[in-house]
Amino acid sequence: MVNREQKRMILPTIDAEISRRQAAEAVAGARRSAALQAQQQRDSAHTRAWTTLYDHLTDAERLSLLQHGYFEVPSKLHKGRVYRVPQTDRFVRVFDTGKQLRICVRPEDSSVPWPDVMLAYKLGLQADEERWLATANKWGEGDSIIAEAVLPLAHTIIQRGLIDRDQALTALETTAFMVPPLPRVPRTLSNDVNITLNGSDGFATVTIPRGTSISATFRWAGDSLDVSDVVIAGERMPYFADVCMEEIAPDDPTLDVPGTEACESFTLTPTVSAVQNFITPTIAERIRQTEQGRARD
Amino acid sequence: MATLRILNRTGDTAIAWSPDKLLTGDAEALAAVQEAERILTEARSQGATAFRVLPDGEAERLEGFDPTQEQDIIIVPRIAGG
Repeated sequence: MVNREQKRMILPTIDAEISRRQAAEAVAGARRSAALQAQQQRDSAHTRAWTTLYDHLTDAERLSLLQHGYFEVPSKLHKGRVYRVPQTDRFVRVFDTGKQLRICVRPEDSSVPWPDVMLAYKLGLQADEERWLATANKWGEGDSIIAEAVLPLAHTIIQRGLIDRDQALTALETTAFMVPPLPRVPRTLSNDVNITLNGSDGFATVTIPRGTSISATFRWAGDSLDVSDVVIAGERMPYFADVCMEEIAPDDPTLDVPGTEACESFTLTPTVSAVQNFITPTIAERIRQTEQGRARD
Repeated sequence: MATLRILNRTGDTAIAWSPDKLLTGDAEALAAVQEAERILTEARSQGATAFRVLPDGEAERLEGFDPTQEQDIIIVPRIAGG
């Protein structure tokens, strides 16, 4: 039994706890609402960008995009060269008399939706090809590609001084990783870990069983984050695998893919939790410095 | 109709006007052209490039700006190597 004196002591504590929970629920509700609104704005922008893109493609370009997921822009400066603008990749392929190159140009404002960027590629390569090529970052067949996944995110963080979870996730969806010259890429690392090379463009798909341990090191390096030491099933990957990091314990530097289901092909797109658990701590100091700099300005 | 649109985080912002009405001094067309000129000037000062999309789907760089022409103008914000 609880006597009157005990009740007198306990009730304020209960009231305070109820108030605290109500306040926490209100904050969580506001965050959910803001996130939903931001998502709706992004969806609307994306839809508008698709409409604008389609309105400015020729019938042949539109058909190619629908059938193959890309459209092509013939070069006006280099005979025989074709630029292939993809719907799902962030790199434009350059086909030039048997050689293959990848280029990447984008608006400095990383929030411009991808269909708009595709349209910008079409316009720029048709009418401003020389300057676009001069501006582009280029990679030849088998060259190293610094993790495209983290560069946009890093820029966003620096420009905005904060992490927008969804924007970070979007940026990380553009994942591309380092690939050494192809002859050095083994086709099989072990009985369970297989690599499928996609043609000769240097991209590879890694097939691993769920439950396989994966680890990697993320290191802040100036204006970008380095991803290195990728180890899958105990074997060091000779390139940065496009691996799926699903649930990651907050303080765990390894990326354990949960479950024990059958083999599955992973496109490793870091999740929000991966961003938060790996990248947030790494760049927290940089954000603090950015905010301090703004305050001084 | 003539259209000027600038690509941005919302997809794009577009201004449209009738060159025919502009030539007759239509207030709405004049206001739209003034806004289009403001956007174009501001974007160019920030490193953006304007393109005119021709009816056959080809693009060409827009150097000047003649609002009395039927045209489809798209401004691409400043670009960088990705």
